[in-house]
Amino acid sequence: MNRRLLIAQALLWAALSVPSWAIVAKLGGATGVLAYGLASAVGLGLVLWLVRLGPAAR
Amino acid sequence: MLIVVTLFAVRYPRYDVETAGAGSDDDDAHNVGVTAVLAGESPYDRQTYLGNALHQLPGSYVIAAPFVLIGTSALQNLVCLPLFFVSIRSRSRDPRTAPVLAWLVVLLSPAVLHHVVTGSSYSWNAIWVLLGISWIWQRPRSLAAALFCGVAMCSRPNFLLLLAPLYAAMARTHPRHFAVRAVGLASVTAATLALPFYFASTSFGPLEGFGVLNQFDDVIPGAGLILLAVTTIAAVALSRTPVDFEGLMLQCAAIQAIPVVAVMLIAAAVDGIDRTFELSAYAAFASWFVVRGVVPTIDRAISSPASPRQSGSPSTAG
Repeated sequence: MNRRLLIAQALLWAALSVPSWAIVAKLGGATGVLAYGLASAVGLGLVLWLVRLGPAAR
Repeated sequence: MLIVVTLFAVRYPRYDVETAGAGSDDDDAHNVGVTAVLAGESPYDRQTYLGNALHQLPGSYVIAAPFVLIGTSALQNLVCLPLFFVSIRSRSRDPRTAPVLAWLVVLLSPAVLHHVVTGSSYSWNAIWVLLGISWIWQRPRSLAAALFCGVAMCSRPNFLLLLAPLYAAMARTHPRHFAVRAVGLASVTAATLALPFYFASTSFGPLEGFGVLNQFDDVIPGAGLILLAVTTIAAVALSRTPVDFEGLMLQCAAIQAIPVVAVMLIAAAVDGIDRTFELSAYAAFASWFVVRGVVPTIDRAISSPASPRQSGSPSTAG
């Protein structure tokens, strides 16, 4: 896998999920944050993978 | 965008109540600040309905003023979020990049939706600064860009640290006198806005905002000052690395993230994980710079489709 893309995805995941830990923790505690963190990482990878599988726009 | 507007229209009136814990008084702080400035008074002599001091620098009240005159400062989210993705669209080759990132924000980041429904300023504040930097980068000779960037940066003390990497990056990629003029004008604008209030106010609210950093001073003496010094040194050190615009965005993100991560780690050691999660909300200041900084890489990945054979699973896409 392209290392640059992997780093970009990791940064994007952190940017989207870390600020939400405060809200998620109020609803589900540390377990909720763990579940949300995993789900958001999988969701991010899945969305980008599906978009890349689609026809190129250019 | 429709989702964001609908959420705001339906949920904001419900959460915009003057009850502790029901929403946020962040939007009220801006409303109160603008009202005070328009009345010719210092915003720092006033409080929100929860009795909190106003912690924003005066630039945030200047930017919020038109929105407060229309109704409430919380409306800024409805302008900033689309502007942010329009700016991404203008810098990406693939037209799908901006909508994909917008959907990722809506789907995966409840914090942003929380900012919209409570009227919190974390998103709009960071986006105004980001757009100011973007404008000054593209139009280094523009007086309006320099003034706007200065006003935006004079919204919270943590954003003033971004002047160092902005100047360094501009000086390397533009004629040096453009960088001196643009960043100099932005700095003078910020100082001109903040200093009169500093000298006129009996208690200058933004300095009390330093409490986020020095909250552990009783456990680690001088922790707040040490964190401020480390962040400032990091800002100067990062400025020595040549970067393009996206690299500058990631430098800005790092400078915003360093104190937050440090405070989160100290909180984990001192107060436990629950306090760490509470403090993670401040990471929103760094988030928008990260999203902007990774645009070229995500854009390249999206515009060069992977074949199913190459990408057997999402985790191996690339």
